Amino acid sequence: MSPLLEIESATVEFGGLRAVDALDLRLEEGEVVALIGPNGAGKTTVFNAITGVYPLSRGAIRFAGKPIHNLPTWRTNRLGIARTFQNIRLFRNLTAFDNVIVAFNRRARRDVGGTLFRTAAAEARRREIFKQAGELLDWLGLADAAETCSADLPYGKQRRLEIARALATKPRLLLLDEPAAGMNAAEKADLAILLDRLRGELGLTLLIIEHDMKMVMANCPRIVVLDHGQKIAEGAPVEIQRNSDVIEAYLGEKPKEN
Amino acid sequence: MRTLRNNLGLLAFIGLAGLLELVFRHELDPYYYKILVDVGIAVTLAVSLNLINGITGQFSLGHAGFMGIGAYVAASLSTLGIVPALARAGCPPALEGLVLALSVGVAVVVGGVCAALAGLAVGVPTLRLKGDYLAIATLGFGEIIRTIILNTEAVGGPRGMSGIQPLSSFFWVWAWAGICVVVIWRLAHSVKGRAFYAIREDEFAAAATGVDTTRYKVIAFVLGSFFAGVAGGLLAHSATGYINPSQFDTLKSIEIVVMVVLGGLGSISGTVIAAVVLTVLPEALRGFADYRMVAYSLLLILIMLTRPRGLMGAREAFHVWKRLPQ
Repeated sequence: MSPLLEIESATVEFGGLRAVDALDLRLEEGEVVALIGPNGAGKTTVFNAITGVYPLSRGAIRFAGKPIHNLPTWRTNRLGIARTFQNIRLFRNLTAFDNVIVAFNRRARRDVGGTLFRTAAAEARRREIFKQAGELLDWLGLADAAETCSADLPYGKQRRLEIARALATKPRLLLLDEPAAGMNAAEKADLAILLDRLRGELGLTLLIIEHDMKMVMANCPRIVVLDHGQKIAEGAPVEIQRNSDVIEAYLGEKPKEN
Repeated sequence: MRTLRNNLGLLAFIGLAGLLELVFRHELDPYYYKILVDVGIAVTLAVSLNLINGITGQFSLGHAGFMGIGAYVAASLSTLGIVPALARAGCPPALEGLVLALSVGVAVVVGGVCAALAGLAVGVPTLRLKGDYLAIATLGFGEIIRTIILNTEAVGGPRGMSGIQPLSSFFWVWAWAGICVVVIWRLAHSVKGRAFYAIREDEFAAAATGVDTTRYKVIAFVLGSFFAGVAGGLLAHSATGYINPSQFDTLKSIEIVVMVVLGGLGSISGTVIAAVVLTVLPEALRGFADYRMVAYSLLLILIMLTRPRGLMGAREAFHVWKRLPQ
């Protein structure tokens, strides 16, 4: 069995700047892995490389055994990789419901005649998709927000809606970029439950960028630490907490005792 | 049965246009008849541009160019091809009118198809440009089309083409306007069609959601160009039977953009209303004589000041009704 996601000495360069430096990372199906590191460590760049935004200057990324590092973003999504964004990127002038409907693009059948003439069969398929979209919103506790313009939703619901939209594409791997950012304690508790359901009920593989260490330590059995584009540590939460390289990356060098 | 019922509205609309045609042709003053035809053409132009500019968010300033292609292709086909061919073949007089109308109808569609092909040829390379750059590229395209027509003697060059069969009746123009509105409405409101709005809102997020953004932008451009071409063909065959290159200049493109912006980018019903208002307004303001265009411009400024997002914003007319207190 090859791993679901396999990143092999991937390097991303912007001019002279090496944002990601020979990164190796493997995710098995069903795993929940956190990607942490100080600001500017290259975490989001890793997400962007996986989803085909930036080309690799060296290395390879494989998803379910297939190389994906040369594919455009929309193709990576169709293969089963969905993501959310650090600074929420919803379709702001569309309702919550329509945000999710966009993500059904792949599952909707291409039927020009049926669409233009609203044939009975095409209308039945459309209703079926609307039903599924409604169920998905319901599953995420967004049923009452369906007809609200997404920009008008409270912050926590916007984050949830981004996850709903990602789920509507039926992914196998979900990349969450700082899902807890800006959330209060209650919202964070809800998010922890949601993460658990994503893995438990949907069997998703999760790769999570997060700064909230409590959240990370409690929910992610494996943690990968990035600093200056390089992986400096990898392991279970307890190991990471004790790792001196990690502490140094976050807090700076320990002052010499004399 | 259901399928038929779902299309009854459009069929009824086309039927009504046919009935009104029978009445208007003899009873209505030709001046008002012409305005009604102009309004129908404007609706087709504005709604088709709304698909590109408003719904998909790709700012095009070349719509008049596509209109020009449709106008000249359809007019050339009918004037240089169909009419002489019919004269040679010697059609029985009873059928001549019908055959002529049908073949001109085909010529208008061919004009639309040519405009769509031009849209494909222009769209594929330019749609990777964004915002201002796309606007300038499409502006350039429109000017190129106009210049080509201006320098083609076969279609009259700067003198234009005259003697085109005046067959674009109220019926044809409004039937096409109805088809244009229904096609674009249904496309934009289908599950896959929501991708057009998504591209306008956030192209990158749309791609990350599995939308082949390039494909949808090209579809919007090609379909919008098709209807612009059809509108051009209808214009060429309207009562004056005369077209010239200056009818398809950048000013015309801007006029259509103004309709879309005024109606509300992305609002189909808003665009229809704006197309009607902006076509009727200059006529209604004839009382101001020399100050007509000043009054027109002032009204535009006034509307944009009071409703900066257009008459409808991004909403549709019935959304507003739903919000009214019952």
